[in-house]
Amino acid sequence: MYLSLDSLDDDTLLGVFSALTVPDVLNLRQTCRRLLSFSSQQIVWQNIGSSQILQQGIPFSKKPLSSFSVRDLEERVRRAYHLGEAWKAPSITFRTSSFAASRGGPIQDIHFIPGYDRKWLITVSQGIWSMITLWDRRDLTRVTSWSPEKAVFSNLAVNTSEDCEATLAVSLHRYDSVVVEILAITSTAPDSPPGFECVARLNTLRQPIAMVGSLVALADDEAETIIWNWKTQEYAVLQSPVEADLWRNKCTQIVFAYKTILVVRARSVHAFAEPKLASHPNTCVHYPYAQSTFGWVDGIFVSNPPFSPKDPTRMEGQPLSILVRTKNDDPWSSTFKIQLWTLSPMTSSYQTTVDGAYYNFPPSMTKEIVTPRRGALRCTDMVLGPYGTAVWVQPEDYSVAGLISSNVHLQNMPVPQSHETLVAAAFPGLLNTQGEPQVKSSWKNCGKNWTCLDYDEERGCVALGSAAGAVTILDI
Amino acid sequence: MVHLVTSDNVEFVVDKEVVERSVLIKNMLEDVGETDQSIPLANVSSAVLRKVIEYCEHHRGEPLPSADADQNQDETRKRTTDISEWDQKFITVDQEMLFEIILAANYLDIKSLLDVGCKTVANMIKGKTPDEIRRLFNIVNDFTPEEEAQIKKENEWAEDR
Repeated sequence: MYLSLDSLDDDTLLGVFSALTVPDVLNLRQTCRRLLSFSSQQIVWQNIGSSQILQQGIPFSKKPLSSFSVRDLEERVRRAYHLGEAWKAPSITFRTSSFAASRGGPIQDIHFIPGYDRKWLITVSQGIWSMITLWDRRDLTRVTSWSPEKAVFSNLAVNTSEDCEATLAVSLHRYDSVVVEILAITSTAPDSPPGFECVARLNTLRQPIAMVGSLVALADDEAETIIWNWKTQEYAVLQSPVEADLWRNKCTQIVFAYKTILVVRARSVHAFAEPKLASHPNTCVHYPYAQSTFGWVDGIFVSNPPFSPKDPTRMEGQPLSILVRTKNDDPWSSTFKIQLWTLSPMTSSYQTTVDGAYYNFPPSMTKEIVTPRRGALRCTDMVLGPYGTAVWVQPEDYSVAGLISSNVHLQNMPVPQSHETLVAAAFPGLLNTQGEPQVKSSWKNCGKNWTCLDYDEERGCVALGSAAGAVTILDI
Repeated sequence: MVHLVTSDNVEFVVDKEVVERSVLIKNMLEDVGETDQSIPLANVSSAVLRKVIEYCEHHRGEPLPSADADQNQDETRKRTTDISEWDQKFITVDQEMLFEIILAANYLDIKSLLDVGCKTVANMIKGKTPDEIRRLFNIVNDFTPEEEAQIKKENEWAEDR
């Protein structure tokens, strides 16, 4: 008997397949029927997913590999492998698609929905009244819209838990009331199109900032934050110190970190020990165990650590990353900076000193990207993923265009072109082993005036909304 | 000392410590206890067993990978990258022998040797087209041209994901 690859038993063949890279698997399975059918088994893709994706630190769903159907798993592993390769390459080329999402009005907000298999994306736009539109991100078709009568939205938070019946929290302003509504995406029948349904409501002026499972974090523009469980109606109040010199201290992000809730406001981060929620008369007010100020900045974004297959709780003992976009103090300076700060957990000896404190303040600056251009920032959104990749919009350069714009001068003068660009960068970590942050892509926007963005690191996808109502999707 | 008899009836006398790198034999010895009787290995020829023993001799005394080795990420990561220089030289054999060694390693349950074998096959496949892989391993293409075109389409590794 002549031994060959296709005469190996399944057990041994599995060993060979597990040692292959994804493109090699795809080539090998094309050789004959036996290998094709063998490579279409769940166990093969589970092993490849574990060795080629999870153990290599490539972004992937937090769900166990065994929970996916084999087709879905293969598709996900192939995409994830591609994503890992793309981030490790010197530069990234996006596949782009775009569509008109509103009738001319600006897109005010854009979010990927982490739940429902990540197949949806929402945009917020406004005609006379506000409207949320749900889009299928694969074929970019409109699924449904939600526009309550005579209401304007002020803020919206998307549920970051993948498995929760509620999808988002939105603040509705009517002429006589302000309420926060919790919305779910539901279908009345299995084949009927999904629609939004309000599952809970709270009368409050505070804005929803974050949502994790059944918890919603609501904040005012001064100092108060409420963590509200919309299912049990229990809540806790987090009180930050009032900054007297700021008439408005807008809350931009609330992060549910390990044993800590971080409240990010205009120029500072406050850390609260995870509070115990209680129903109305029994609740109490909590104060931060630490805080840190970044001075005048244009944006702060905190990211939780990546999911690790070793540790399902995944956050214990791991540092948090904070991305800061500085506002340069000197108006004539020609640069602005993106800084990465690290907030480490306390060492055990510390832990006993402050009750409930988990992270060691202040954070320390670890990396900095200096960009040589400055301009008016329209879209201040920036997103840092758990795996250390980040996207932000860099404004068009004042020094090139801005001040001598063609429409203020009567005579025709040649104006050099400048565009705002979408920057995608990888900070040192699982996807960048170089030790220095690397800008992987600068995608030029030709005249659409971006207003908002969202970034789904797991799928390698950026969504941008524009002032003219267009949505651009960039896929890695 | 342990006596092993191969499929072609050759007897090998090997140190217990060496032969216990095979989990199969290790368990057998634990079940049987000290014995002078030879252990028959019906699936392994003398040529292959000689190679396997050479491998076990070289790696004698190294800790056996525990069943939950996957728990240790660094270890697994190391496992999936490279083959040591000695192992590489050891595994530079003709294809027939390579597959014989892999089958024997699987049968005798010698995880590290099985890994070396599988990785070697993986390295041979690396970067090759389906046609090249077929030629390399003498695999008969049993698809119809239509099927082949369809499968090619579904499995193309393009930058369009």
